[in-house]
Amino acid sequence: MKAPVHALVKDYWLAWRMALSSRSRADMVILGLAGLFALAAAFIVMVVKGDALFAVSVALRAALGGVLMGWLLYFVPGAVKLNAPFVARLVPRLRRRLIELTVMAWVVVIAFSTLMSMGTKLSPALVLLASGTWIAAYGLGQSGHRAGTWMQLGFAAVFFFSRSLPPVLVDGIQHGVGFVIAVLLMLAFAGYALQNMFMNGGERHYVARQAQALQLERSTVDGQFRERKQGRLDASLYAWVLRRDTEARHSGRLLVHLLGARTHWINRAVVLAGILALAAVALSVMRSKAQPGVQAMVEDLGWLFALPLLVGALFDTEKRNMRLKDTAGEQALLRLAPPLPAGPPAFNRKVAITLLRTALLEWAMLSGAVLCLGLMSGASARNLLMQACLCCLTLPVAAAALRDHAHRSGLAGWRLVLGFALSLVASLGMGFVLERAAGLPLPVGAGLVSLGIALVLVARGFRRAETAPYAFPAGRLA
Amino acid sequence: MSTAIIQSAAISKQFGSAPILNALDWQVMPGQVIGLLGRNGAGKSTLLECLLGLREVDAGTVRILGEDVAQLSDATRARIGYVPQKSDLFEWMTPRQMLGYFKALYPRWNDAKVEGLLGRWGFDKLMQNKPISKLSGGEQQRLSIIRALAHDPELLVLDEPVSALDPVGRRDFLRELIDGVIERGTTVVFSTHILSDLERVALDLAFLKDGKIALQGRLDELLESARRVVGPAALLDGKPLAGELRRQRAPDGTVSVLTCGGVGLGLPAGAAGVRVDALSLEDLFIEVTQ
Amino acid sequence: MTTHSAHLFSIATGSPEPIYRQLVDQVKRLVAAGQMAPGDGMPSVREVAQALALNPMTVSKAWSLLEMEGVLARRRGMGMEVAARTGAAQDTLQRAELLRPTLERAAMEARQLELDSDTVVSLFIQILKEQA
Repeated sequence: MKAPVHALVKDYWLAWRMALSSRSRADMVILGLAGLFALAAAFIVMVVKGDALFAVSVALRAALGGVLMGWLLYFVPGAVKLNAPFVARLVPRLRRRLIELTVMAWVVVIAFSTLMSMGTKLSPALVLLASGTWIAAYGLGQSGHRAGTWMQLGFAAVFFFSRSLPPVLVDGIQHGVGFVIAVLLMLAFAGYALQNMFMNGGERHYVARQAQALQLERSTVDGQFRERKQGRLDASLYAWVLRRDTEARHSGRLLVHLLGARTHWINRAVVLAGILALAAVALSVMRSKAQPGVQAMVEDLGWLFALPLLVGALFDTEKRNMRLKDTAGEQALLRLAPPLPAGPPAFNRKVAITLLRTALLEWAMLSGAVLCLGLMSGASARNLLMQACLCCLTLPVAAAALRDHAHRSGLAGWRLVLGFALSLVASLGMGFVLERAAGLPLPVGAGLVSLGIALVLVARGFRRAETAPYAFPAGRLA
Repeated sequence: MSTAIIQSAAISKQFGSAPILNALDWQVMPGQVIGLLGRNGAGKSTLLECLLGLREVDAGTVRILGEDVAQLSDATRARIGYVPQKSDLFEWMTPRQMLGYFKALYPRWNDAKVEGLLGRWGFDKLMQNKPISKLSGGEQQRLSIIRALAHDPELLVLDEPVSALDPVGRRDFLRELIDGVIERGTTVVFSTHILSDLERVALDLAFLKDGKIALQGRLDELLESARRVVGPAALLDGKPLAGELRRQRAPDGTVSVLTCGGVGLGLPAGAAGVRVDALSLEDLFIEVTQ
Repeated sequence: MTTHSAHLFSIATGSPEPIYRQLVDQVKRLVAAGQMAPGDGMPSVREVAQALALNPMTVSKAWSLLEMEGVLARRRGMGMEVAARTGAAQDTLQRAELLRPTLERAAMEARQLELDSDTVVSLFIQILKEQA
């Protein structure tokens, strides 16, 4: 009986490797992260408790958890991608193995989390139900099925508003008949999810493939910024802007269109306008209804909620850089178009000015929105000044639009974040020094330093543009 | 003697350590219709991009209409049309938007020609307002060609312009090329693998091999003068033939020699076992580029 | 006196024979066969180029060659027409020339089979007598 078991294990190993191969070096990443996780957990436990045995057991559990997380993030999408219609029909054994692996891993995860929760305050029954349902929903979502994402959202909502759920229900599903019913429901949902993740050919499978491909693309770093279908409003707005710019024959504005429809500043303007409108409504409602204590808190700290908008500046630059990298063909055609200046210095200068103008425009929109929100939440002048200085801190990121595009298509990914972090540290440090030396409040000092950094970057960028080769097509000399 | 419309001298280009173009010289005269042939990966696209100044060359100079490609004036650029290999450019725009965008970029734009081509090549109202990413590969290529022809260029550079078109599409493209482009004396440089199209429309050929133009000439003359001489090694070994280009030994001991322009091969007429074949364009391609 | 349409001609790509030569041979065969009579109008270069999707220069080259060999004559005004026959003897010579490609192929095969010319010629005469 050894032979069939051996073949089965080999099958599973092969299916596992095949599913993971769709993401490069997945196994390295999983093992690395799990190892790091385990080491960190052990370290913390050693520092806090000093109990070596406990640390080891925690490390083991953390490692196992890390590997299981890796399974969730890498295996599931890979397996779904692997199950193409022709595979399902022509190699049914592979599909069976993938399903079996998924089910086994699902069971293992549920068991693991339930066991882990036994010693803690959480109710094991709830943990069992929660983990089982959530993982099934995740799997469904990874295969592009709408219900999956909705279930995950609903899950988060239930979790956050768990206090307001009737205690009878919560109690009921943990014991006895209620528990059995809940488990059956969970199994039914899991079965549904499994069926949708690993379809068996047919027309529906082909239709589902498209949704799956979209989902897979969205989960990669590159795919985040690729052009996707626009909403109706966005599309018609973009069409209007395009028409206006082509009629005006303004070469600078036409150059900006190179970056694509989604990165055009008009979309940003619409989104911000929407956010401001919503915020205006919410704030006015809160103003009229809430207690004075809450009101004061909102005034003082409301600006904190505007911080995510500033992160949008980073996002903008990243998007722009990725688009520059992707639109080499379009850039080649623009290079051959008459209105753009001849000769690398003049051409690069025009590109630099245009990109900088767009970056500054988007930064100005973001900062304006932040300040508007501040105004609407009734912040004091001092608070508004602080917010303005915070906005200035993100100015260097906008200045990063100027680069030697021929050699690189811009600071991308972690390099951008690193640059931003450095600029932040420098600004805050210098601001500190200025506070000590001249009594200038920290935010103002930091803001001014950031402004200085941005100006230096811009000057350097323009100087580089004079001597660099043609900016377009970007990244060709890399 | 008229000056060349494209003049390239000793251009070299390397990707990493692999040389793609190796001290390549090439002239294209005004009004020529020249086909650029080469194996996949031989560097045809790279050569065309270097000729247009879209890529920097490591050595050598390229001039278009007398101007250095790194400093093409507005007027010169308005006379150049380019169809790149990638046909789904500006895919977020609709055909109408894309053509309007380019109309704003070019001083001269032949609206009548554009409308005519859109109508004849199957772009109805519905398709004209669909994003380019939603069109099929053939439709994208046709649109790309329309965009390049719309401003009546004097120099048309095409990089595999019909690779995704069915025979009817290709025939339509050839007809448009003959009617609207060649009749007006436009210079056409195109690279393609579809030899039947080249035979119909191109008058000159250039073969790119090992980073150099290995063979160049008028298509008619090449076909008439290229011959493959096949015979036993005993007769042919060590005997250079007039106009010999390449010699190859088959596993069974016969020798095959490619000659071009060598009339009177210096062999005893009708020597036993020696065969002289005339070559079709496909045979010539295979022989030259191997 | 008819004016022939461009669709009378056809060419084949992928053959070792250049296209202009195919056109030249075709016209010569049609004239010899009597399908194109002296004085008949030839389709213009542009028409033929359009119909067969050819470069007009190729067609023009073929037409010029035919004019030089006396098969076509330039019409007063525009276009070409089939030239009048200039004598029976030349006619025969011209028609005999049309047979050359086929005979050259036969000669090559004969060489490969290592047959001497006398055997080949007597075989040919025998075949002609059979088919007469």
